[in-house]
Amino acid sequence: MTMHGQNIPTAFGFGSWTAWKNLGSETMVMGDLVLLEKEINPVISALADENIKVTALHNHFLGEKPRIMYMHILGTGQAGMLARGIRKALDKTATPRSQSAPTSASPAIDAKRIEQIIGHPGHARGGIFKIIIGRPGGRARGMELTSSMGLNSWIAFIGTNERAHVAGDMAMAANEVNPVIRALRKHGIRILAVHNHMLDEEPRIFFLHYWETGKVENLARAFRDALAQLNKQERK
Amino acid sequence: MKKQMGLSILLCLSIGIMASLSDAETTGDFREVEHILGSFGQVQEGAMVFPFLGVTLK
Repeated sequence: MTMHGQNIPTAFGFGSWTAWKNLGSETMVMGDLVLLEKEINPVISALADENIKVTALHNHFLGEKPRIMYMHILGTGQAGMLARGIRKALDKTATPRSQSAPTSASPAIDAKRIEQIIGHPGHARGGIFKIIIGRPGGRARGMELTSSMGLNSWIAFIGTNERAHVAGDMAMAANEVNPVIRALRKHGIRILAVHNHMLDEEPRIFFLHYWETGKVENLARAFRDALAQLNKQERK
Repeated sequence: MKKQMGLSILLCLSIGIMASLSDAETTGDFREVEHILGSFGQVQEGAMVFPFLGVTLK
Protein backbone atom coordinates (compact mmCIF):
# COMPACT_ATOMS: atom_id res chain seq x y z
CA MET A 1 0.00 0.00 0.00
CA THR A 2 1.09 3.54 -0.62
CA MET A 3 -0.26 6.87 0.59
CA HIS A 4 0.92 9.99 -1.22
CA GLY A 5 3.89 8.03 -2.58
CA GLN A 6 4.92 6.64 0.83
CA ASN A 7 4.97 2.87 1.45
CA ILE A 8 2.61 2.11 4.32
CA PRO A 9 2.74 -1.02 6.54
CA THR A 10 -0.42 -3.13 6.87
CA ALA A 11 -0.56 -2.40 10.60
CA PHE A 12 -1.22 1.26 9.80
CA GLY A 13 -4.90 0.39 9.26
CA PHE A 14 -4.97 -1.90 6.24
CA GLY A 15 -5.63 -5.19 8.00
CA SER A 16 -8.93 -7.07 8.11
CA TRP A 17 -10.06 -8.51 11.45
CA THR A 18 -12.96 -10.32 13.06
CA ALA A 19 -13.84 -10.49 16.78
CA TRP A 20 -15.93 -13.36 18.13
CA LYS A 21 -17.91 -13.49 21.34
CA ASN A 22 -19.71 -16.44 22.87
CA LEU A 23 -23.20 -15.31 23.92
CA GLY A 24 -24.18 -18.68 25.39
CA SER A 25 -26.68 -20.18 22.99
CA GLU A 26 -25.12 -18.43 20.00
CA THR A 27 -22.02 -16.55 18.88
CA MET A 28 -21.65 -12.96 17.73
CA VAL A 29 -19.00 -11.93 15.23
CA MET A 30 -18.10 -8.37 14.32
CA GLY A 31 -15.35 -7.31 11.97
CA ASP A 32 -13.90 -5.14 9.32
CA LEU A 33 -12.90 -6.47 5.90
CA VAL A 34 -10.35 -4.50 3.89
CA LEU A 35 -11.26 -4.83 0.23
CA LEU A 36 -10.34 -3.78 -3.25
CA GLU A 37 -13.24 -2.20 -5.12
CA LYS A 38 -13.74 -5.24 -7.34
CA GLU A 39 -14.04 -7.52 -4.28
CA ILE A 40 -16.92 -5.67 -2.65
CA ASN A 41 -19.98 -7.25 -4.25
CA PRO A 42 -18.74 -10.87 -4.40
CA VAL A 43 -17.97 -10.54 -0.67
CA ILE A 44 -21.42 -9.12 0.13
CA SER A 45 -23.05 -12.08 -1.66
CA ALA A 46 -20.89 -14.64 0.14
CA LEU A 47 -21.71 -13.08 3.52
CA ALA A 48 -25.43 -12.88 2.73
CA ASP A 49 -25.49 -16.64 2.04
CA GLU A 50 -24.74 -17.22 5.74
CA ASN A 51 -26.87 -14.31 6.96
CA ILE A 52 -23.89 -12.14 7.93
CA LYS A 53 -24.89 -8.50 7.72
CA VAL A 54 -23.01 -5.56 6.26
CA THR A 55 -23.26 -2.68 8.75
CA ALA A 56 -21.19 -0.15 6.81
CA LEU A 57 -19.15 0.18 3.63
CA HIS A 58 -16.89 3.15 3.07
CA ASN A 59 -13.40 4.63 2.84
CA HIS A 60 -11.06 5.09 5.79
CA PHE A 61 -8.31 6.81 3.78
CA LEU A 62 -7.98 9.26 0.91
CA GLY A 63 -5.28 9.02 -1.73
CA GLU A 64 -4.27 5.43 -0.99
CA LYS A 65 -3.13 3.19 -3.82
CA PRO A 66 -4.77 0.90 -4.68
CA ARG A 67 -8.17 2.25 -3.63
CA ILE A 68 -9.33 0.41 -0.50
CA MET A 69 -12.82 0.12 0.95
CA TYR A 70 -13.78 -1.07 4.43
CA MET A 71 -16.73 -3.37 4.98
CA HIS A 72 -17.97 -3.64 8.57
CA ILE A 73 -19.88 -6.82 9.33
CA LEU A 74 -22.05 -8.35 12.05
CA GLY A 75 -23.32 -11.89 12.41
CA THR A 76 -25.07 -13.88 15.12
CA GLY A 77 -25.72 -17.61 15.11
CA GLN A 78 -23.80 -20.86 15.20
CA ALA A 79 -20.05 -20.19 15.22
CA GLY A 80 -19.21 -22.72 12.52
CA MET A 81 -21.83 -21.32 10.16
CA LEU A 82 -20.55 -17.77 10.68
CA ALA A 83 -16.95 -18.89 10.17
CA ARG A 84 -17.87 -20.63 6.91
CA GLY A 85 -19.57 -17.43 5.73
CA ILE A 86 -16.50 -15.36 6.49
CA ARG A 87 -14.20 -17.97 4.94
CA LYS A 88 -16.28 -17.90 1.74
CA ALA A 89 -16.16 -14.10 1.75
CA LEU A 90 -12.39 -14.02 2.29
CA ASP A 91 -11.95 -16.55 -0.50
CA LYS A 92 -13.40 -13.91 -2.85
CA THR A 93 -10.54 -11.59 -1.89
CA ALA A 94 -6.76 -11.43 -2.03
CA THR A 95 -6.63 -11.46 1.80
CA PRO A 96 -4.05 -14.08 2.90
CA ARG A 97 -5.19 -16.72 5.41
CA SER A 98 -2.38 -16.27 7.88
CA GLN A 99 -1.96 -13.45 10.35
CA SER A 100 0.37 -10.58 9.70
CA ALA A 101 3.97 -11.67 9.95
CA PRO A 102 5.65 -9.76 12.77
CA THR A 103 7.93 -7.04 11.44
CA SER A 104 11.01 -6.57 13.55
CA ALA A 105 11.66 -3.03 12.33
CA SER A 106 10.44 -0.50 14.89
CA PRO A 107 9.70 3.07 13.89
CA ALA A 108 12.55 5.48 14.65
CA ILE A 109 10.43 7.66 16.89
CA ASP A 110 10.41 8.56 20.56
CA ALA A 111 7.63 6.29 21.80
CA LYS A 112 8.11 7.30 25.44
CA ARG A 113 7.60 10.96 24.57
CA ILE A 114 4.41 10.11 22.65
CA GLU A 115 3.07 8.12 25.62
CA GLN A 116 3.96 11.02 27.91
CA ILE A 117 2.06 13.55 25.78
CA ILE A 118 -1.00 11.38 25.17
CA GLY A 119 -1.04 9.86 28.65
CA HIS A 120 -1.64 6.28 27.54
CA PRO A 121 0.73 3.39 26.87
CA GLY A 122 1.26 2.09 23.36
CA HIS A 123 3.03 -0.75 21.60
CA ALA A 124 5.38 -1.13 18.65
CA ARG A 125 4.39 -3.83 16.19
CA GLY A 126 4.59 -4.36 12.46
CA GLY A 127 6.85 -1.33 11.97
CA ILE A 128 4.48 1.13 13.64
CA PHE A 129 3.92 2.57 17.12
CA LYS A 130 0.27 2.51 18.12
CA ILE A 131 -1.84 3.67 21.06
CA ILE A 132 -5.37 2.27 21.39
CA ILE A 133 -7.87 3.70 23.88
CA GLY A 134 -11.10 1.81 24.46
CA ARG A 135 -14.44 3.49 24.91
CA PRO A 136 -16.43 1.72 27.63
CA GLY A 137 -20.20 1.95 27.91
CA GLY A 138 -21.19 0.87 24.40
CA ARG A 139 -23.66 -1.98 24.01
CA ALA A 140 -25.31 -3.81 21.15
CA ARG A 141 -28.04 -6.41 21.52
CA GLY A 142 -27.53 -6.30 25.28
CA MET A 143 -23.85 -7.15 24.98
CA GLU A 144 -20.99 -4.89 26.05
CA LEU A 145 -18.91 -3.68 23.10
CA THR A 146 -15.26 -3.79 24.05
CA SER A 147 -12.21 -2.16 22.53
CA SER A 148 -11.30 -5.52 20.97
CA MET A 149 -14.60 -5.39 19.06
CA GLY A 150 -13.66 -2.07 17.51
CA LEU A 151 -15.02 0.43 20.02
CA ASN A 152 -11.88 2.49 20.45
CA SER A 153 -9.87 5.52 19.38
CA TRP A 154 -6.33 4.96 18.17
CA ILE A 155 -3.30 6.62 16.67
CA ALA A 156 -0.47 4.93 14.73
CA PHE A 157 2.93 6.46 13.96
CA ILE A 158 5.55 5.63 11.35
CA GLY A 159 8.63 7.60 10.29
CA THR A 160 10.97 9.69 12.40
CA ASN A 161 10.61 12.26 15.20
CA GLU A 162 11.04 15.10 12.71
CA ARG A 163 8.85 13.67 9.95
CA ALA A 164 6.25 11.15 11.06
CA HIS A 165 3.01 10.01 9.47
CA VAL A 166 0.00 9.35 11.68
CA ALA A 167 -3.34 7.73 10.99
CA GLY A 168 -6.13 6.65 13.26
CA ASP A 169 -9.73 6.63 14.39
CA MET A 170 -11.71 8.60 16.92
CA ALA A 171 -14.80 6.90 18.41
CA MET A 172 -17.27 9.65 19.29
CA ALA A 173 -20.79 10.25 20.57
CA ALA A 174 -22.84 12.47 18.25
CA ASN A 175 -22.28 15.59 20.32
CA GLU A 176 -18.51 15.04 20.29
CA VAL A 177 -18.12 14.82 16.50
CA ASN A 178 -17.62 18.50 15.75
CA PRO A 179 -15.54 19.34 18.84
CA VAL A 180 -13.17 16.53 17.81
CA ILE A 181 -13.08 17.69 14.18
CA ARG A 182 -12.24 21.23 15.30
CA ALA A 183 -9.57 20.07 17.76
CA LEU A 184 -7.85 18.07 15.03
CA ARG A 185 -8.14 20.82 12.42
CA LYS A 186 -6.57 23.33 14.85
CA HIS A 187 -3.44 21.19 14.55
CA GLY A 188 -3.82 20.89 10.77
CA ILE A 189 -4.78 17.19 10.87
CA ARG A 190 -6.52 15.98 7.69
CA ILE A 191 -9.98 14.50 8.27
CA LEU A 192 -10.59 11.63 5.85
CA ALA A 193 -14.00 10.27 6.83
CA VAL A 194 -16.75 10.48 9.46
CA HIS A 195 -19.37 7.73 9.60
CA ASN A 196 -20.97 4.83 11.44
CA HIS A 197 -19.41 1.37 11.75
CA MET A 198 -22.36 -0.35 13.43
CA LEU A 199 -26.14 -0.18 13.12
CA ASP A 200 -27.69 -0.83 16.51
CA GLU A 201 -25.17 0.20 19.13
CA GLU A 202 -26.20 2.24 22.16
CA PRO A 203 -25.27 5.01 22.52
CA ARG A 204 -24.80 5.79 18.83
CA ILE A 205 -21.08 5.97 18.01
CA PHE A 206 -19.50 7.74 15.05
CA PHE A 207 -15.98 7.12 13.79
CA LEU A 208 -13.63 9.72 12.40
CA HIS A 209 -10.55 8.73 10.37
CA TYR A 210 -7.58 11.05 10.05
CA TRP A 211 -4.10 11.30 8.58
CA GLU A 212 -1.25 13.78 8.74
CA THR A 213 2.49 14.19 8.39
CA GLY A 214 4.62 16.30 10.74
CA LYS A 215 6.69 16.36 13.89
CA VAL A 216 5.88 13.54 16.29
CA GLU A 217 5.27 15.84 19.25
CA ASN A 218 2.81 18.04 17.33
CA LEU A 219 0.89 15.04 16.03
CA ALA A 220 0.71 13.51 19.52
CA ARG A 221 -0.60 16.80 20.92
CA ALA A 222 -3.31 16.90 18.26
CA PHE A 223 -4.53 13.44 19.27
CA ARG A 224 -4.36 14.38 22.96
CA ASP A 225 -6.48 17.49 22.33
CA ALA A 226 -9.01 15.47 20.31
CA LEU A 227 -9.23 12.89 23.10
CA ALA A 228 -9.93 15.70 25.55
CA GLN A 229 -13.19 16.34 23.67
CA LEU A 230 -14.47 12.88 24.58
CA ASN A 231 -16.36 12.32 27.78
CA LYS A 232 -13.75 11.57 30.42
CA GLN A 233 -16.03 9.01 32.10
CA GLU A 234 -16.17 7.04 28.88
CA ARG A 235 -12.42 6.82 28.48
CA LYS A 236 -10.59 3.72 29.56
CA MET B 1 -12.54 -21.64 62.32
CA LYS B 2 -11.47 -24.80 60.49
CA LYS B 3 -15.01 -25.12 59.06
CA GLN B 4 -14.85 -21.52 57.74
CA MET B 5 -11.47 -22.16 56.13
CA GLY B 6 -12.77 -25.32 54.58
CA LEU B 7 -15.77 -23.50 53.13
CA SER B 8 -13.53 -20.73 51.76
CA ILE B 9 -11.26 -23.27 50.05
CA LEU B 10 -14.30 -25.07 48.64
CA LEU B 11 -15.69 -21.77 47.31
CA CYS B 12 -12.35 -20.85 45.68
CA LEU B 13 -12.11 -24.29 44.07
CA SER B 14 -15.68 -24.01 42.76
CA ILE B 15 -15.00 -20.60 41.23
CA GLY B 16 -11.79 -21.94 39.66
CA ILE B 17 -13.56 -24.96 38.19
CA MET B 18 -16.42 -22.81 36.85
CA ALA B 19 -13.91 -20.42 35.22
CA SER B 20 -12.02 -23.33 33.66
CA LEU B 21 -15.23 -24.83 32.30
CA SER B 22 -16.22 -21.47 30.88
CA ASP B 23 -12.77 -21.08 29.21
CA ALA B 24 -12.96 -24.59 27.81
CA GLU B 25 -16.43 -23.92 26.40
CA THR B 26 -15.22 -20.70 24.77
CA THR B 27 -12.06 -22.29 23.38
CA GLY B 28 -14.03 -25.24 22.04
CA ASP B 29 -16.31 -22.98 20.02
CA PHE B 30 -13.47 -20.96 18.61
CA ARG B 31 -11.30 -23.95 17.73
CA GLU B 32 -13.87 -24.71 15.04
CA VAL B 33 -13.69 -21.10 13.89
CA GLU B 34 -9.87 -21.26 13.83
CA HIS B 35 -10.02 -24.45 11.78
CA ILE B 36 -12.46 -23.00 9.24
CA LEU B 37 -10.71 -19.64 8.96
CA GLY B 38 -7.28 -21.29 8.83
CA SER B 39 -5.96 -18.76 11.32
CA PHE B 40 -5.31 -18.56 15.07
CA GLY B 41 -7.31 -16.19 17.24
CA GLN B 42 -6.10 -14.10 20.16
CA VAL B 43 -8.19 -13.69 23.31
CA GLN B 44 -8.74 -9.99 24.02
CA GLU B 45 -11.23 -8.69 26.60
CA GLY B 46 -13.40 -11.80 26.45
CA ALA B 47 -13.52 -11.85 22.65
CA MET B 48 -11.52 -14.01 20.25
CA VAL B 49 -9.92 -11.71 17.71
CA PHE B 50 -8.62 -12.87 14.32
CA PRO B 51 -6.37 -10.33 12.61
CA PHE B 52 -5.72 -11.08 8.94
CA LEU B 53 -3.15 -9.72 6.59
CA GLY B 54 -4.23 -6.67 4.71
CA VAL B 55 -5.09 -6.49 1.08
CA THR B 56 -2.54 -8.07 -1.24
CA LEU B 57 -2.54 -7.48 -4.95
CA LYS B 58 -2.97 -10.70 -6.90
